[in-house]
Amino acid sequence: MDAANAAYLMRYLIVLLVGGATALLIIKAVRDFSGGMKKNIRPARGFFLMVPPRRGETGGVRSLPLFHTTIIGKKRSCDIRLRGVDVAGRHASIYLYDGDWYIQPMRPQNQVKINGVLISKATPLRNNDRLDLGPGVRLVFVDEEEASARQGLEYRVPYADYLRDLRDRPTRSPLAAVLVNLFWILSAALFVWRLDGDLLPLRPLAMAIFAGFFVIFNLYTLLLPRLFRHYDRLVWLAVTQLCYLGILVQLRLTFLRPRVMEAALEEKGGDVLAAGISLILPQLVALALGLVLLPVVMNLAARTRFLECLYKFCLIATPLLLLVTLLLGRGDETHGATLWIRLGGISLQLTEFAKITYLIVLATFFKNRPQLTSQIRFALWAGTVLFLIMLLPDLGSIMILLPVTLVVYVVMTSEYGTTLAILGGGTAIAAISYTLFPHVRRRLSGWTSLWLEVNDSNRQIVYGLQAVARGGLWGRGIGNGTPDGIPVVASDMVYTVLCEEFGLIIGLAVVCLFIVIWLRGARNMLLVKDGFSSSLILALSSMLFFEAAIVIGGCTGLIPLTGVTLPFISQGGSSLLAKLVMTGALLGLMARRPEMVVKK
Amino acid sequence: MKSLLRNLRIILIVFSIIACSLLAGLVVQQKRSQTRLQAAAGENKQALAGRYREAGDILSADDVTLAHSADDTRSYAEDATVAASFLQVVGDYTHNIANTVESNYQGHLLGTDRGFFPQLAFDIQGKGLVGDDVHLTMRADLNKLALEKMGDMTGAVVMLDYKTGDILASVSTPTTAPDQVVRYEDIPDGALFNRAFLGSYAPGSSYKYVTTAAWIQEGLYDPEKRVTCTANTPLIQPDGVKEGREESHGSLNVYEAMELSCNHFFGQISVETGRSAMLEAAHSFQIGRPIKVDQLSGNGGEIDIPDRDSTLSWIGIGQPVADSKLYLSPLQMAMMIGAVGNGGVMQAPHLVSHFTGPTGKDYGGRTVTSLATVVPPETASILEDILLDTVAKGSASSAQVSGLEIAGKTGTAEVEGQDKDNALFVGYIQSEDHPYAIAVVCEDAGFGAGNAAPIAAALFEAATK
Repeated sequence: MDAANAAYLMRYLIVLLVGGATALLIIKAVRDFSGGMKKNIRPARGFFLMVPPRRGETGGVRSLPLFHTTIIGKKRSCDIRLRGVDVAGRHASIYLYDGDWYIQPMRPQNQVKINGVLISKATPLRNNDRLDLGPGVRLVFVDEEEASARQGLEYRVPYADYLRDLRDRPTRSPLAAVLVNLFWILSAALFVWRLDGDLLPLRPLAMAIFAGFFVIFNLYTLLLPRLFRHYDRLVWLAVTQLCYLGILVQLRLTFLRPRVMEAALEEKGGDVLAAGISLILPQLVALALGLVLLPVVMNLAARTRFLECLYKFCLIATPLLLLVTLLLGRGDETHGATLWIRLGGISLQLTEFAKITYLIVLATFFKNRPQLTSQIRFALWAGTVLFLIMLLPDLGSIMILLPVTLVVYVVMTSEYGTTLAILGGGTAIAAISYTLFPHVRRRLSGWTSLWLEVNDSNRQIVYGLQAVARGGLWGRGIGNGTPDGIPVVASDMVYTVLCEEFGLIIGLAVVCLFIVIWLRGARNMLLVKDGFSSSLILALSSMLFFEAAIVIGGCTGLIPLTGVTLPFISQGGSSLLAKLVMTGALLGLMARRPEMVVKK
Repeated sequence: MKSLLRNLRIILIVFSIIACSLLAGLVVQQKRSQTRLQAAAGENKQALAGRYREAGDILSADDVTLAHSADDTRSYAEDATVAASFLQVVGDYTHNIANTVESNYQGHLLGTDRGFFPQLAFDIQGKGLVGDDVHLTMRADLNKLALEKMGDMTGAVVMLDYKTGDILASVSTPTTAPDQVVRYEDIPDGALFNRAFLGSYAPGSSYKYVTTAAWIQEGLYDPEKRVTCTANTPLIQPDGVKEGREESHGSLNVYEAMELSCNHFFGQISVETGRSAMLEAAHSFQIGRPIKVDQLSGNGGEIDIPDRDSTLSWIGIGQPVADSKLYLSPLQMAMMIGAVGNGGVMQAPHLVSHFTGPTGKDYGGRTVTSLATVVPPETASILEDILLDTVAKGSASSAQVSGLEIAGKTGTAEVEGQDKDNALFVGYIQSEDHPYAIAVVCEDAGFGAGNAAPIAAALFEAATK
């Protein structure tokens, strides 16, 4: 039996391994999510509102729990319902940000007094502050820790550790970890076996790559939970699986593609090893750098308020990154967008990093339900940014950022009407871009004529779909596919190669892995104890999901194709690095608990 | 926090819908592209080249390799003439020609059409990537000879076994080397067109036996009936059928009329038989019904006769005029004449005899099935008698082969815009051991007797050796 036929036989096992790991992860994620929706919401410990008894009333003092975002008002949807002549439907919100508690009137005209002083915008709260929300409606903010410190006592929550363990029992799946690693070992062996004949010199390189990443990924799987108590193992396993698939596909698309290897060999004067290194190096460097940065970013996100401090920087950096790209960007004109910047031989795609800074600003604005004026301020800023992206033009990024913004916006503010209006506006923008940009029109016409004829504008998708069709359910085995001829096969269309060589089942598993990441995000956004982490977790996990959904839908003809990379899998150093930084931030925020964060 | 929880629930529903439709969409798209984008025009040529690297062989009935994959390339028959003669049937792995064995049997050749368990069995034996060999019913020696005999002429030859339906030879000219088709360079005009299966030709006088069949079926058969030929004076004024020559054939019966291919006689009997009976006979000969040749398709021809005797008289001699239609493919002509030889039963044509799996096991042998009874056996034997006579001492005598009983009819069809007429011959060997039928069409060549019939004779001789 030769390597090709061995790969063909092993495809069944590979499907079972990846499918099994994915099934375990998604089952755990769904069970954990549905089981804990209500349970996950717990009041902040050590902080509450005290209601002093009114004159003439009997009974003691009542205490009201506080959440990371607590809305006070008359309406039923409020967390604390108050009755009073001057209390509005949604009167004020009390929220935790950057380690401090704030109160903010929902509208400027809502009367909120702190210790008798009228306020109109977000104001920090201290222990024992008296809050007057209208005649006869008085609340007292209590910070137990500060209160006890003032009396010279040590503040300790009884059974704190026990309660915490009970609450945050980590969701583990050691079996999934084993399956993911078995997949890696098996496919690495098959891949190395395929490197024979002229490619023999590449074997040590491939072995080093496989072994190296095996060690790093497993080190993180084992070590990071020790360093971070609430480390999310499911997300990390999902990311590991995706990265493994990504490295394999990228290695396959370079080493096992005679066309590509021949071109590189010519450049390197026939040295196979040098040619192989030159082809795969950018991707490997990005991956390695990303993996080094990941725990650093994670630590910053989990233990410090670094991300909150970045807010003002990001506010300026986002448009700046886009402007630089707009002015200096060079790229492939044929794909309609000029997104690359060359810096001393390295080409960077700054828009990938602009997406991260955008999300930080988004999360900061919507850490609680902001007042209308600040909503408008954000809309202006975001409008400018999106406009700059449209000028690039990078419609793929708009298709990702717009839905992510809407998701965060609607979850954090409950503004359903406005959201629908923005969706309508987005449709209008889409219509305008259709008339303005020829390459959008071309892509759309290619999409609509997909099943009718093969033409220049849909050839890419048709070839991609043919590859998906060739793969069938079980795939053709590593190296047995025929990706030649598909345009931009390593980046935009990489999903079709994945489907051809690994089969549709693994193709579906990839989608499920992104769903796992999102579900973990949604669950953890309820668990963390401040609004900023909450909204940034939602933004990051939604972004990964949307990005994957848009490129997967695009390259299989479900929606019009836009140039987006498949996170963790597509070729592209900037994208991979940015995605790993995002993963670091996501894992860090998920692991963040108030007691961990360094006090100012 | 309460509203946050509610909002998150709503978003969760939205995400679930997106995720589920994405998952379902992927499955649907794969199914759709498997059925609609494989072997479609505009397939990814580079991918195809890679795919056929391990494809199975295509072999002729006499075990000549017509397509073979080795050393990362697919090559076609070693003998250049054989390769060219099979071009439009075997096709090319880049699928520049549609409706070929290479394109329509892609699933077998690449081994992608198997069920899960058979595939698993091959995988375990380390032969999962090996495709099936496809064995054709066609004979390389006959096909090569047919191409040599066609020479520079444009046209088609189809020879088949009328008892089993196996196609023995099928040549379309002009043709070229398969490598040129793969490169898509220097291809002569029309070389990619399978004239034998898909061509559309007026049958001319070779249709006269169908007219006779209609006449017999209508109960008007009378071997003593005589019609007097009036040479170039039309049978029906002003534009009925007439002879292409000055001299009259005189008064003749059906045998003499077929021997001399007299237009007046068959014009006369077609008018007497009537339009509806003529159409009925054509339909019972399966004209107008698309032909399935295993997984390939053939042109089933068309017929349309307006309600006008003068035009009907022309259809009676196989020549569509004015707004009438009568066009047949060479494959169909061979099937029709073969049905006469087979006692009136038309057999379904076959091109693929069986497959050989990766482990060397044969499977999927073709089964002989009859397509239709085109005429009752009695009618068939009358027709056979007339057609044997035509070859023995009539206009089709150039199709004679010593020692063989050959029945047949020549045809010469006028085609607008051509200098010369199309020459045709349809016929068969009356033999239990060599039940072969043939149709030869030579475009722009002249008389059927001079050009088409000798080709048939040469093939009959070679096939019975």
